[in-house]
Amino acid sequence: MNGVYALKIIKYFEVAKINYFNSLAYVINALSRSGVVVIRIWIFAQLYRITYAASGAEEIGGLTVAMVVWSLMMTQSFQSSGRPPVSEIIDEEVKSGALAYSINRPYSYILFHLSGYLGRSTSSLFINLLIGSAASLILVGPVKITLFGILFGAILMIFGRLLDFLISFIIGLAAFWIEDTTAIAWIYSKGQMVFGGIILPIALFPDYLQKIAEFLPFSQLFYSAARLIVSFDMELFHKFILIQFFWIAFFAALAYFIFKKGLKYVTINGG
Amino acid sequence: MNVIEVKNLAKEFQIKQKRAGLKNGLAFLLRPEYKNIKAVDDLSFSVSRGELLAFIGPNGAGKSTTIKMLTGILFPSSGHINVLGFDPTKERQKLAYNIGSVFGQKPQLWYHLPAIDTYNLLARIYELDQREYKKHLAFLVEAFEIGDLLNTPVRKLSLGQRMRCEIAASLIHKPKIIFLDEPTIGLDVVAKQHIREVIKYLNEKEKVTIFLTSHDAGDIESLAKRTIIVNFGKIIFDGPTDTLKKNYIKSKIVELVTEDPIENFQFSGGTIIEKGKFDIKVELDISKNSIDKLLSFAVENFNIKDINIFDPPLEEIIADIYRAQKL
Repeated sequence: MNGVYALKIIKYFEVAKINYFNSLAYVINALSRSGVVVIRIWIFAQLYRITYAASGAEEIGGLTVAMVVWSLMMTQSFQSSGRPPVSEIIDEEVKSGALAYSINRPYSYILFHLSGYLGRSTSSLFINLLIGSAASLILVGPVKITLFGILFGAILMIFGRLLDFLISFIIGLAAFWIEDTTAIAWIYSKGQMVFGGIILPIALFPDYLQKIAEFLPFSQLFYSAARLIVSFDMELFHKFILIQFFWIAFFAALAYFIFKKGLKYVTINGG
Repeated sequence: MNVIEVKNLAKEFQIKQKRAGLKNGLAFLLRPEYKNIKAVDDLSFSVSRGELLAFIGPNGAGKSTTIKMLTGILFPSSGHINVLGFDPTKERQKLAYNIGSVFGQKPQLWYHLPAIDTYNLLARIYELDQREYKKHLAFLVEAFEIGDLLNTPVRKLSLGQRMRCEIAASLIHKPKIIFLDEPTIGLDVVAKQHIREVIKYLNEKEKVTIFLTSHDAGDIESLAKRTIIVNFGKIIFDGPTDTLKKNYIKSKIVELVTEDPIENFQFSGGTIIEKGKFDIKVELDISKNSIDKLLSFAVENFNIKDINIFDPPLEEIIADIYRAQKL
């Protein structure tokens, strides 16, 4: 029986692997994404240096300028690390009917796309982090990163990616009922920008807003992991992982329900 | 023994109907209107093990919808389907392990990677024993002559090479039935021929049941012993491909080569298709006149050097059948 389960797990690992290698065909894209991260980090470094100097504070919300820049570098790297546009892919599959071909194969449609998402985003994640870290080091100097920070941050990052996948997957599935899902995808991306710690670390928000932002799913996609890596705090880890579990459970149930419901609407163009 | 059984199969789609104009647009938002389209209407047929069946029809006839219902991709509105003992509507995943499909417009090979990577992935997806898989792959590579193509990124292969690799991909898990939807679409003559040989080989040597749809009469003529023609979702012909030709031929093509120049050629029921100085090609409507009479007429009036009589191409026969349905 274990052998049977092993075969089922191996297939998703292979899907991730083939996506990983397929994404290597776009090395130039990965490097250009890293270039964009470096430019943004340079802008953030100037911006936050001036902001901190104007306020006269060494630390705001427990973060120094260097910590802010490193944290932004990580959220930017996580976010732009060649994540496949899952919502676009699913939207297209629903509209074109390609989804019907996929569900006809002996695998779970959701796990197939999740494996693809993880495989595709892994290759450029390391390139981004490597180039981004070098740029941050030059621009603002080092920050104290602990092994625990990396370890627990990596856990939050993995669950954050799962959460991002689930939300994007649901947005894509909305194509079963609405003509164009790009508007929802746009709101999701702007939500990440404002509440996801992509341009402004949530630790710098006023207290009440920080509490709200931390509970929203946006901050749990990329920010929570970055925040923990630059300044490890076990209590914060517990808090973040609980929020992540809550949203993952919620969106996983929603994705499953919508997918089952949507299957009844499967039609194929050109039949 | 039947491997596919279809009884009273029907599929109806609801298509949104949007009228032009702002007022109608707003009304549509509040109360959308739908039109019911019957893509498949009361189809019944069966396919025996080892058969090579052509399932053809004009665009929108319902052939792809039928294939998609047989493979479990679409749910029928009514009727019964049994494929290899499975009900595709309820046992889609179980059925997937036993059937293969090639949809000409939906490639399964990874575009940027060599075909071998997709094959390895499919072997994992179908949970194949790795030793068995390697053995079977070696066989497919030889049969499809794709040894030199295996390690080339798919994007660099020609369309014909890609299609051979596609069909091989659909056979990785040794399916008992393979559904080929337009396998020769867009291919040149040589590539088409190659694909046809492969299909023939699979059917004759490997005893794989093949369910083929194609717009190419050449595919049907050279491959299928039996043909089903569908139009407007209904079967309008089901029988041997030879019979299709015999029953539906309404004309013959007669080619005459003469010793003397042909000045004038007028024969009731005959239409000149091509005319040279010493040769002429005439299409004879056999409901209006007979071949015998045409030949007698030719011998009496011309000094005949050579005579050839052909059946019109299958393509034209099928087109005639479609046209007759529309009237």
